[in-house]
Amino acid sequence: MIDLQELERKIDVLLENETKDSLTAWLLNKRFVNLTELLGKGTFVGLANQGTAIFVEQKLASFNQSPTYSNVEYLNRNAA
Amino acid sequence: MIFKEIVTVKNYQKIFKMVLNFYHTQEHRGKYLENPIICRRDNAWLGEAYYFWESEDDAHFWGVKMKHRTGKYDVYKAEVSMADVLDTVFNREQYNFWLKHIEKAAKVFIKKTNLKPSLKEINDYFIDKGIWTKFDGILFQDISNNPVHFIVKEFQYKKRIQLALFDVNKMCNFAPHFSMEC
Repeated sequence: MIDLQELERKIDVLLENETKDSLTAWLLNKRFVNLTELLGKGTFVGLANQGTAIFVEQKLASFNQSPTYSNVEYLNRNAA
Repeated sequence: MIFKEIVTVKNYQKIFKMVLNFYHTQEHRGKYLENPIICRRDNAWLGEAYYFWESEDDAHFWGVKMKHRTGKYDVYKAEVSMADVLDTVFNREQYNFWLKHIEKAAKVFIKKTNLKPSLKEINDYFIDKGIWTKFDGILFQDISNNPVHFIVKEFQYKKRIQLALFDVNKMCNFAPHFSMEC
């Protein structure tokens, strides 16, 4: 049988003991792992040079897109 | 003397908690699985776990909808004892407990981090911290979007029940149940 009262006590102690730093670190670490799974392994580079990509993946994106493609019309339509 | 214990309302669940059949759907990849596959997807709302459907219909629909990449999917059947599963679908006390602590954790996350956690993150947090692992899994429900279930007009009344099992050793007799081309 699940002891709900005991679990409640443990949860209260756990949450009470979390600090801003410990909880933020846990959450961001969780999100960073998920981000890595999404993007693949790569290198984050600084933003000092505005022309630099912030994430450099090791494999090239592969999609076909017309050289004349523009999303301006679509965006304008949405704005309207 | 053989049956000394009197069955009261309190110990009824302890004695008679059922072993239920659950269904696990995966793409067919040439050979059958010996164990279910853990789900780590971002939309795995009960956290990282082995996900099962309570209904064969939902397992089949999941195969058609989400597990069709190889052109065939497999539905496996397993038996799970409900004795140590947090049942938020049919047990009011356990549902209220789950709801109270998900919301309590969400408020603490928001207050201390200024970030809004997802349901998966809260469940993962309780798993990581060894709270949810005090039981075998969570039974939860949402509403099916399977059009076959829309028998009455404009209202989907049927629960879509899922089991998130945290420890694969808590199930038994995992075996292929049926396969379908899609």
